[in-house]
Amino acid sequence: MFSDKALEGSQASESLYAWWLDLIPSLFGGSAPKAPAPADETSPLPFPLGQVSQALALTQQLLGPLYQAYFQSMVAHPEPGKAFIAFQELMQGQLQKASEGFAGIGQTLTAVQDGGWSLMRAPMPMYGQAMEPLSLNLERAYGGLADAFGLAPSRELQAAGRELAAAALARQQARAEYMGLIVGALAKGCEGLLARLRVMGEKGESVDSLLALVRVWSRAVDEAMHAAMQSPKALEAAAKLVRATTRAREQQQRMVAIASEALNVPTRAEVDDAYREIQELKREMRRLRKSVGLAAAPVPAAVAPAVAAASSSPKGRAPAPARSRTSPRAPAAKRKKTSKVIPS
Amino acid sequence: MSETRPQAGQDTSSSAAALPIRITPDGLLREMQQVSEKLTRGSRRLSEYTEDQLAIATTPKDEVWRQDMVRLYRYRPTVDRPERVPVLLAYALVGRYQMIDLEPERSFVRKLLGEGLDVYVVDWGHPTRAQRWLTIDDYVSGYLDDCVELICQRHGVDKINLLGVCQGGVFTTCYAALFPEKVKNLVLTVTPIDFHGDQAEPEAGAGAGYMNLWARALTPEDIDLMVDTLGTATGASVGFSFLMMNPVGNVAKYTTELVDMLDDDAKMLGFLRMERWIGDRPGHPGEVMRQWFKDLYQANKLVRSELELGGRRVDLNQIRMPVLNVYAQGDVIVPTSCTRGMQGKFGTDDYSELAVPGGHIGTFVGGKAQKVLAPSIAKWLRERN
Repeated sequence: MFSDKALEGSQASESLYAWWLDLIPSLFGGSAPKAPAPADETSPLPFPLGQVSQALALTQQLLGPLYQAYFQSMVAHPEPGKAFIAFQELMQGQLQKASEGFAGIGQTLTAVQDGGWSLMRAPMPMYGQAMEPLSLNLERAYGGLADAFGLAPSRELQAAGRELAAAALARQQARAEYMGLIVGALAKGCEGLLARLRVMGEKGESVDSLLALVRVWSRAVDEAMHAAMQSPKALEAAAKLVRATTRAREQQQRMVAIASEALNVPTRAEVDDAYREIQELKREMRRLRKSVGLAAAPVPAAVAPAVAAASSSPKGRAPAPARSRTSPRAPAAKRKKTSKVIPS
Repeated sequence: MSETRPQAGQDTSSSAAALPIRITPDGLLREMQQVSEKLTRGSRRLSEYTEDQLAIATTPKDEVWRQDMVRLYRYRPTVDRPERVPVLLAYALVGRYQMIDLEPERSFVRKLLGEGLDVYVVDWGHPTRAQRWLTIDDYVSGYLDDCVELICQRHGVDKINLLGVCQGGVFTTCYAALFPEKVKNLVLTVTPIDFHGDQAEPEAGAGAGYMNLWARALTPEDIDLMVDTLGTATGASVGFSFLMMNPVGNVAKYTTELVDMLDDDAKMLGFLRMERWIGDRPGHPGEVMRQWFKDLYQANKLVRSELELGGRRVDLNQIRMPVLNVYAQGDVIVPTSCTRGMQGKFGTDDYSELAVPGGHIGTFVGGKAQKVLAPSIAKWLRERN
């Protein structure tokens, strides 16, 4: 019997959860709480309990200030409708600020090439940025001489570093532009909230709790977000982001390749070529196997007994009938090979 | 909608009074207290769940074949005499096959077994960087064909039933076109066939068809660069693309919706198991991704019978066996306009469609869809076996 307890991909997904749970509060100007430590440090919580616990802590962290802000609005405006309007404007103002912030980052990024260190966290783009003025001058003055002394890789590395810095900047800009659109859509959703509330009022429905209000808000924002994301402008921004991200990755890979070659370490391209060759050989093997009517690779011995036991059927089912000899496909003699290792 | 928002300086008294807000200070404080207690209780409960409670895909099955990272399982039949022609189920590469057997109460597979079918499933596994050169043809003419051959041999039949899900449905469609002699009946579920169907018939649902729009917004060169630099797309990056298709829904899911289910054990466990499935996202081989986006999303070659796999054309006219095409009425990942109405696109005279309520995943785990899906498929197959 096979057990599905081991989830191979969950480890990689933990980073995605961490990123996502960190992004949610950052949209509202906060930071995510840390994942709770399991009671017993030696046995970690089964996936995804830690991540969901973290989401709960995040919810508490987000809802707390929301309740406080709403309560303050109610103190300032005793009439419920007015309190809501004041609260809503406060929220919308915050989102607008965030939206402008993202848009601002995009515009500023192009102007910070000389000193925007705080915006560049990755070490390789920083290296490229730092070396740019010096390396350009050295290149002009001593490029040919350096080549003669075998320093070509370091010069190549510097040039690649400069290109990476530019690509990283373009990526930051594309990311900021995209996030600006997202946050702008959030603000638009707030406007949709009023329309939804009016419709609810006309139907005689009411909102009696802050959580219910958040749910209506979330539906309104969802609608606005989808409309924004599907707009030509957002699709173009999304494509630009993909392009900028992949170009930055390409430049990173180029730097690693230069360093690898200099150190006589196989490069990514070389490893990929080897993988490609293996894959082509596998294809060839498959073609040959099929051309002679050989069945697929057998189940390893460790697994085979379980198959045999299972095939005897829990309810005493009759074994599968043997294939007819008159079958138009592979000869029966060839098929015997498989039936040996996989009893039916 | 902007006209609904009061302008700055405008008297909002009348409009504010018209809003159906009935939140009172006392009520707000009480609610805050209740939510806080609920969250504390929920955190405590989360720490008490065990690995066994979270287990997914628990329907008994046996591994009968493996190659590279791909496995073939046979589910243990639950009736004395299952249908003679077995069914091979092929899920998509973007998620694991466990979705069809998420939990005992919501298991598509258990229902198929209960209907007397003999069910196999191919698990595509977790491709690594070494598998970046795998193409759709490697999956279709390689792994899938090996599975079909093996099942035929085990059961002494010349052809079997294929049931494809989403991307797995595209693979089984290609297989049925390339190897029609080995397919008795073809069942497609939430499978995109006409990737440009949404252009002729834009979807109404929020977010419907975003993937189609996104893929077409890219140039073929963008796809090439993406594949060349990624190699095999990691599971996390595949998960990220799904997350960003519905950002607000995913914020709500981990906040307000979570609060709503904290006191409901069954809902909470259902949520956790679903998260477990989502978290087990496999990587995606680059060459498959290249073909998927360029040949299908961008060039729409499948429905035009122009797709080529391993030098052979995938001609849908070769699909002359009976076809059942199941689509989800609320599918936003594969818009219904890309999947339904395919009569005349295949070579078969026996084409049926089945609409099930719910979304893309809801087709297999949703309560309403569960009542319809497995019994309808089983009945349709029995009539044709």
